[in-house]
Amino acid sequence: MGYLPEERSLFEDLTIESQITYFAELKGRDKKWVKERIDSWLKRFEVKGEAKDKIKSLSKGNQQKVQLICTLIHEPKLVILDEPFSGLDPVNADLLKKEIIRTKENGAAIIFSSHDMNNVEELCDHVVMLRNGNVVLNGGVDEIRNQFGKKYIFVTTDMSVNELAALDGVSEVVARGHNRYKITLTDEEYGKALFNAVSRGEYIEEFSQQPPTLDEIFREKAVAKHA
Amino acid sequence: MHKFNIVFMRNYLLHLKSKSFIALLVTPIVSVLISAGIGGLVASSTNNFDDYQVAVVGDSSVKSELVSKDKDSIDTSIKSESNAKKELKKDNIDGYIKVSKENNQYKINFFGSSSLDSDVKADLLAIVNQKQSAINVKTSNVTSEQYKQLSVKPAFKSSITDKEKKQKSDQTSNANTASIYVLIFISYFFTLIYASIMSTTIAKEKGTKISEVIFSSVSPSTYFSGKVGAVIALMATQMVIYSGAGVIAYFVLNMYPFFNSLFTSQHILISTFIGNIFSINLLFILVGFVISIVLAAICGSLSANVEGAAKSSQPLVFLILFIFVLSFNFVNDGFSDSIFSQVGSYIPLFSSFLMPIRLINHAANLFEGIISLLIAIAFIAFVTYKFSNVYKLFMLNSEEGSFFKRIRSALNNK
Repeated sequence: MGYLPEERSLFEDLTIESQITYFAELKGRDKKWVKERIDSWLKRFEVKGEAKDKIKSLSKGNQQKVQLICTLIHEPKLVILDEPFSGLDPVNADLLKKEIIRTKENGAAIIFSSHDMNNVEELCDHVVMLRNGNVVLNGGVDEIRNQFGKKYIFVTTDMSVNELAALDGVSEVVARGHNRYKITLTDEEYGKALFNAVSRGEYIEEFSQQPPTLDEIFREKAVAKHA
Repeated sequence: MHKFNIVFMRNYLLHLKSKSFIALLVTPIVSVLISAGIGGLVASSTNNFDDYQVAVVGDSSVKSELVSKDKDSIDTSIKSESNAKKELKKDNIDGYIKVSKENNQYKINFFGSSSLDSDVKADLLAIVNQKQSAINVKTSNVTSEQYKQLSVKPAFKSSITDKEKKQKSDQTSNANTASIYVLIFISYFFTLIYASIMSTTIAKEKGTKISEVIFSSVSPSTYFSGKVGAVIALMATQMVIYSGAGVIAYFVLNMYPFFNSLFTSQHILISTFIGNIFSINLLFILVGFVISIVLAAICGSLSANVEGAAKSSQPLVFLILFIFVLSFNFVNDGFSDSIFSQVGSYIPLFSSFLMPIRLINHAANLFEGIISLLIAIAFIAFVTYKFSNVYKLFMLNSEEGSFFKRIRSALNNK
């Protein structure tokens, strides 16, 4: 098993190499096996430092990367990540996402907690949402999204807001600039009719009918809690 | 076992290579060398009887016989009383002996800045008494038969019984006292030092998520055992290094005549001392160290963070201090056998101080020592087993509050 806690949990007096080797040995890996792989992992995560540098000399971001290497280097079959994206800039977040996908493709099961729904939607197959210790959502990402109906339409058209709002089944129109709109339907069944009304048999640049994002679902659930 | 070895070796090597351990190792040796050096300088700057010199003037036969016995203490270059007075005034000699004979009686006068050396005095009196006896016989006109009668001396015969053999000679008694004090001080200082090292080592991981990561990889009991084992091994390493240094020092010093003669003259003291230390008493010290290390680990796990390690260890420190002070009451022969000493010598940790005292003073026999040792070892096994089951709870609990509140909180999370 690989476990990544939310807070850093490294021995600051050890070198990067010693730290990674120690944790990997405790996970059952041979010292030599680990040492052969350290450099490639440091390179892959773009860790700014040498293997002989002490942990305390690294920045927080690099320490987090080293922590992640400790979690994954021994090729665990189960990985638990607690807020892994916390404190990461977009570049490093992308590195982490790539690694999570790679680990998943290698056959590992990954459980991670996050408040960033975009990352969850991008990476996860299955979602569980807890509120006050109770499960409020549980299922595949698409399955959960579809539960809330495909009520959103993303369209690019030269029709005005008012014209769109006047169409049947439209409850809200939000302009997104450059003739792009987000339309909320009262029922997903109106989607086809709306397409016909907007396209009028002609080419249109964009028309997409989508369920709410996990982010929107999370907000809805959170608001419901406070309500 | 494999994971135990990993934890053990990692922690042992980490401590071994640390600057603080090297300082801990070197400081006592440097202190001893500095003390010995200062002592040597002080001794060489003060007068001692190796430089003791007196002159002998007057009767040449007495002088020549005295010189043959104490030539190192007699300055033979001084031939006259006036010369002797001059040299005494200049402080080149410690005194001079004037031997004269008047009316068939020898007269000895000593003039000096300090009293005449007892060995020289004894030899001088022996020589003069013999010569005086010869004169007395001659002047008293006794016959050879009468002289024989007068020469009869009392017969003295010495038979050493078994009881007397067991009684301590002066050297043995001194060695026993010295070894008791050494054992007590070694126990006290090293117990405190290693207890502090252990509690800090454990407390370093409090307040961080390191324990969570560790316990996802290795069982808490294995991890705890590995860490405790590493500190015990560190302590053993220090003891071995000091023992080796002691042996080397002995062989090096033995090459110098002064030390060689000292060791030879005091061989009973030295062999008794070493015999007292490197015996079952050493096992008691080691067991005492292990008990304090285990208890210190418990204290360390109860602190909220590394800064609180010293505070959490205070109960243990006070306990060790109490035992240290208490043990001085039983150093003397007569008190070693008191009821307090007898009972205390079977209580773990107390026994590490009190049982060696009783064994050295022959107030307890080897069998009693072994029983006490086994009790202490059983205590270690019991505490280690029980604590390793709750170690995880203590380490994962980072609640602030009083000592007992933290214990309660940790156990409630079971």
